[in-house]
Amino acid sequence: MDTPSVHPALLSRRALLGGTVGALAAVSLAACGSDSGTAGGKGRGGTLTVGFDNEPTTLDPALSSAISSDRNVLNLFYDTLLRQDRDGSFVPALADRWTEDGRTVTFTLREGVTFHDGTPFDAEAAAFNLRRVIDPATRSTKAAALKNVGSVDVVDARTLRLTLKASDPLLLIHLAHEPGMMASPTAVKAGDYGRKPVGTGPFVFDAWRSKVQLTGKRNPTYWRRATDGSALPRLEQVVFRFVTDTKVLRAEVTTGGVQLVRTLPPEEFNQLAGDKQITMTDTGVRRSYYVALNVTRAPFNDPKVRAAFAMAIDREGVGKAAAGGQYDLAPSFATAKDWFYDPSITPPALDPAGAKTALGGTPVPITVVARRRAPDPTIAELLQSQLTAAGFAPKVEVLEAQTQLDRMRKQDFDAALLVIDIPRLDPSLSFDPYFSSRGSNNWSGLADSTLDRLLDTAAASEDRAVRKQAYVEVQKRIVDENYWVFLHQPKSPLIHSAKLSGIVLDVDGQWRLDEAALAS
Amino acid sequence: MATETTTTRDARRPVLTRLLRDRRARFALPVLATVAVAAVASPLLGDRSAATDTDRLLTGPSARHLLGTDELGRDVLARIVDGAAVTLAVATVAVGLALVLGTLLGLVAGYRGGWIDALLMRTVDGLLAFPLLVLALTVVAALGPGLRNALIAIAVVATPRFARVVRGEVLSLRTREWVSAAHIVGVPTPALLRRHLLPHLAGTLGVFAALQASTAIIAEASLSFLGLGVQPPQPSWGAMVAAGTDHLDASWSLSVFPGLAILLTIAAFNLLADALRDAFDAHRPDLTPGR
Repeated sequence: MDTPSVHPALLSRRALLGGTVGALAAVSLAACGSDSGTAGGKGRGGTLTVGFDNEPTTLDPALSSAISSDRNVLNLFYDTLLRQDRDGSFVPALADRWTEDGRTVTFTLREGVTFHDGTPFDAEAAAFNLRRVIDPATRSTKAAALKNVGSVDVVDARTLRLTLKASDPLLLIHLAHEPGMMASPTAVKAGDYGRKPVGTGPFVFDAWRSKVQLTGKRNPTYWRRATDGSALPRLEQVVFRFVTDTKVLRAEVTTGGVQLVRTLPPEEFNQLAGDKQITMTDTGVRRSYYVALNVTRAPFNDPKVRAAFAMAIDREGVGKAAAGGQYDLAPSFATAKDWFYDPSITPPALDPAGAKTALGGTPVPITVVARRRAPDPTIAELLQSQLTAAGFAPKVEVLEAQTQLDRMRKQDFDAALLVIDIPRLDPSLSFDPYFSSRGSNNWSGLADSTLDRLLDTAAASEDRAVRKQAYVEVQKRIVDENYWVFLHQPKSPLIHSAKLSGIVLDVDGQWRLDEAALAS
Repeated sequence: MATETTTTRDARRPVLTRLLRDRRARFALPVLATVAVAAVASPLLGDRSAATDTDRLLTGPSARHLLGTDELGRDVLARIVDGAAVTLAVATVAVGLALVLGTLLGLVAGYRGGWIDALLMRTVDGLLAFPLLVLALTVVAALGPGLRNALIAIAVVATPRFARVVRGEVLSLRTREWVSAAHIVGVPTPALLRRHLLPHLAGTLGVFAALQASTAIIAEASLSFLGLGVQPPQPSWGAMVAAGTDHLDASWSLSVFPGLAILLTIAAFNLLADALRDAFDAHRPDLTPGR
């Protein structure tokens, strides 16, 4: 085991340049499907090298925590019972078909599939995985996703039945992602599973050197076939190189050292524009910057002070300075293509003078916590300048990731600057954790019964119109009360070598590489 | 080089006069005076160095912003002037602290000798074994980033250097007749060190302090470049160069001008040190009786 010790302060500039927020994954049924087309029969074989900034802490899907990046890796090794396509529809995977009747879901499993270690995939194995996620002893980070599953029953070797405690419109979405990923029971029982994953997926785990690279080799007996009937996966090998420095990543893409990169900030990908060797596609993925205000203590327990804060922030200025013009402005975690987007929701207009008057002359001291990772400190510095001009006396603390989250969990801050990747698999995954009084990431310390009621309505309904109505009300409430100030949404395009084709994306933009191919 | 003749001719002139006649000092002193004036006068700028303007990001030099703007649209000239205060603090506070501490340790070690000398000098050797920046980084890592801690780190790094130099001088001085005489007539050790040894170290210390000042400025700039020195929004030349390297493709001027400020100041300190050494060396025959 190589786990190099890290001195935070020593490496902080590195950390600042690299690293990414772990966030939840999610759907937007919108997404501009601009996936690269499949390469037909050409380009078989070859090694794809990927530049990846967010090394997973574990490859056990039940325990993975970086929701907006881990699945890029997990999709190499694992399959789920069913897949969700980019347009939101469900297609068969390890299950040939399934039936739902509100209280039960019955899956008929694909025949002849084995895990990479030879263990057969059957209903017992599937039940083992789902029960493992639900079992509190596993301490699975995905347990909440299956909270409505009452029992998992093996009807016969090919039939699996889930009995639900309550109907759950999100269950299939969850089963199509990490909570439904199938791991070999033999390997899981053998121990140290997070470092030695065994699934049924297109690639077989080969090696993982921490901080260096992770290798997967082609699974020669993969069950899935391309639409033209040819065998998958097309690539012989996939190598994930763990590089956090965005400048290094950009240089590697330019020189061909890596053919695919997870994400680059605008100041880096702007430099790639015009390079014919590199394909950049806006897949609709955005990073959504926000400032959460702590309503549990003065001064932001006063709605007037929160309104003054919102009036002080020049969101366009922040976008121009931190994202080089490559950004959108949106009222919340919604993007313009999302079904729960409503352009009529508008934050208070920029008015530093008005804010100053509202605050009444004496500068209001506040503590702003931000993360030590570009461009967050720059944004914090700009906010500091804008807030000072509007009559606040802001103190900015730039912290390491874990320290900042600890401070935010303890509500030991006044304003917190952070970012999540959007869209997520479902808006409930974007809003509930942050704005429900029971939310795990309720940074602001909200206890707003109106919001709770709206969020519950939206999550429990299967009716798109009802859900949209509720989510629009949720966003209106958040913006009207100025609990949070949503900043800009930098673009996060898919960047890869022009030789690479066939990347399929999950709803939230994470990769599936079984159909990917490299032209020679 | 005509130093031989210059030395004999100028031998009796006061150090200052000789310094002012030196070409190197004539370059260095105005530069350093400018830095000092900028540092002292920077409060007069008001919030010019903090005022952001997102409509003018990373612009080149213009009439409105003589040296251009940075990544948040702030005036680079105003920030360089503001950053001079940090540089001056490093050159005076950090080096001054190291000078006082190092001299004290060096005097004690050199004069007393014995186990005190052994203990102090082995510690100093240990500290000197680390490359300067590595040691400074370690200190900042332990104390946390910020200007005050960066100053402490630089002082810690520079102190053993002063101690080493002073001890060496004291070793050669303490066997001199006037020191032995003072000792024999019963001058107490503290007074002996202060009145009979310290004055003879002035030249060496002046030269060495000027040299260390330039090293210290580079160290501060490096720490700030790494994000461990001065914290934003307070400007520091090193941090400005760092910000400039992030935006090299968009603006050449952002890293060039602060870099030039660092270069000029360090060159000035180095040249001043050279000039001082020559000025003091020429004066030496007066202090050290001929053999």
